[in-house]
Amino acid sequence: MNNNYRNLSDEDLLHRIALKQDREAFGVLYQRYLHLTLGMCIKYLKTGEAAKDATQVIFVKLWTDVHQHQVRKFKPWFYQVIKNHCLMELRKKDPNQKIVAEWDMELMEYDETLHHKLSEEQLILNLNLCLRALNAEQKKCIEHFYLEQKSYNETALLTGFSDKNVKSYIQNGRRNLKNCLKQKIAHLLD
Amino acid sequence: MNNNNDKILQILDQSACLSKGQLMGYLKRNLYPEELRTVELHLSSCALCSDALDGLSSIPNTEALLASVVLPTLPAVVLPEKPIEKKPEVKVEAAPRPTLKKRHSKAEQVTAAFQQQEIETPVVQKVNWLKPLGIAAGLIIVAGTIWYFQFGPGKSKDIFTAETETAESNLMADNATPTDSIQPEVMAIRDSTDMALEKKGEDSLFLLAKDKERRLREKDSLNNIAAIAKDTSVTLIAAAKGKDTNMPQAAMAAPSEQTVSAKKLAETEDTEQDKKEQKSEKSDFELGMQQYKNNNFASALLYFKTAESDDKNPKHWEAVYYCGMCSKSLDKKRRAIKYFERIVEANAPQTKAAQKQLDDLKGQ
Repeated sequence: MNNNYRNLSDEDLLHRIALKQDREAFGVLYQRYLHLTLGMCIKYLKTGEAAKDATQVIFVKLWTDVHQHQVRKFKPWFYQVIKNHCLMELRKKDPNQKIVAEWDMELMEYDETLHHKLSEEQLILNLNLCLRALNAEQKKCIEHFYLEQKSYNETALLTGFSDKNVKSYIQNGRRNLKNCLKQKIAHLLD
Repeated sequence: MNNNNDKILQILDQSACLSKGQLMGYLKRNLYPEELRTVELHLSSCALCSDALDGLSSIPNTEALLASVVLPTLPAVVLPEKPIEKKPEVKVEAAPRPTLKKRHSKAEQVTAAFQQQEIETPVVQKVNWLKPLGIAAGLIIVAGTIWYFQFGPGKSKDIFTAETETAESNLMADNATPTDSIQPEVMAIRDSTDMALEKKGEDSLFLLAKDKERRLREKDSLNNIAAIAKDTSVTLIAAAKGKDTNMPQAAMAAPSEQTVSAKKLAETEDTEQDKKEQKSEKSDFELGMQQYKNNNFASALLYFKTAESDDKNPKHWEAVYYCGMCSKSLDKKRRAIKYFERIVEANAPQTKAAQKQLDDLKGQ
């Protein structure tokens, strides 16, 4: 595989696939995201075989349909493609089943970096303010993980929460912090 | 305080997604502590990797499953045709083109194909064909300019003028397009190459002046050295001849002072150079770590290789370890094994971690 392709960004590779049907670019993107796509499909479809088939279909869809979309950021777009496909497969299996709503609402955040909108000092100040506003569990986990540089395992031992809960608190806490920060930025820029 | 600020800002960081090696390493819990931290920081901010990890951790034999996934057969995709731009009709008289025989034959095929399709404006087709011709003429001019810079002013300029004339004559002979649209382009290209020629002349004069200055400086320094040497030899000779007790001492003092000052200069230069080198090596390792954290393993490997080139560097063995990790991530297993074996043989601080990586690689 051409080493130059490995240094291209996801968006550049996608652009080449869309414009020139570049198979080498597709190959690089495939290698980068195969394990992630398969893992996600296993999570939602529950079996290895179903996940394998879904992975293949998703990548073929990427190849055939990419020129129909204007993709600004590859990762969140691809995440949505995988999720939509898994949702479709689940509905095919059981049309009457109500798909669990929780992961429908989890949109992959891909915010533009907030660094450009505020100075570093303002960011830090507002982050600290927002951190205080979090609920106790999220605040504890975020402090242990980010400020004390503990691992997930260590944070779980210190807080007494399970590994799964620690991850969840950190992810949700992080999302809440970002939302709080966005509100503060909007307020400051008004 | 600054450390805390950096740590809190990590909440907003977004790095590149995890590689297969990192994800598998995390699942098997055989990551080096710094790498573990990088992976977990990323997992906290990336839903795609987080969901993938959840899925892969829920079934056994994930590696076997991954290996069994085959690259799908990609179907041919017909891209939508771009709409043909309608241009105003222009009266065109067909003219013979002796210099463009190959293209003429191709153009004949194309025009025949279009005639079959009963196109309303044959003029439009001829207009479209001249665009590539114009581009080709431009390319020839650019090639001529490059040739000129390589071989000198006189020859290339003649060629350039000849080329533009031929290009112009070709374009003039081809009456399908309105020539008004092509000539200004040629003039613009000519103007730009003239400016490039002038600039080149100015640049070369500037370079000559710089070179002259450098030579003068070197000459001055050589003269100074010669003067110093002359002085010392004169005083030594005088001391030998005169047999004056004071003179030899003075003679010895003068050169010794000069040698001491020269030595001091040399020493300070050496230490400055050492400092610069150390700084650059430190910064190479740091730069390598930055690239590594962003999963740019190829770039990271370059920096780590530079950092590990000096045995005296305190980060030398760490850099060797990361060279191994980068090679592993780039699927260069043999190279990775060599790096880790070096660490183990030298009984470096990273021996345990390196041994783990070796076991993993050899097991694969």
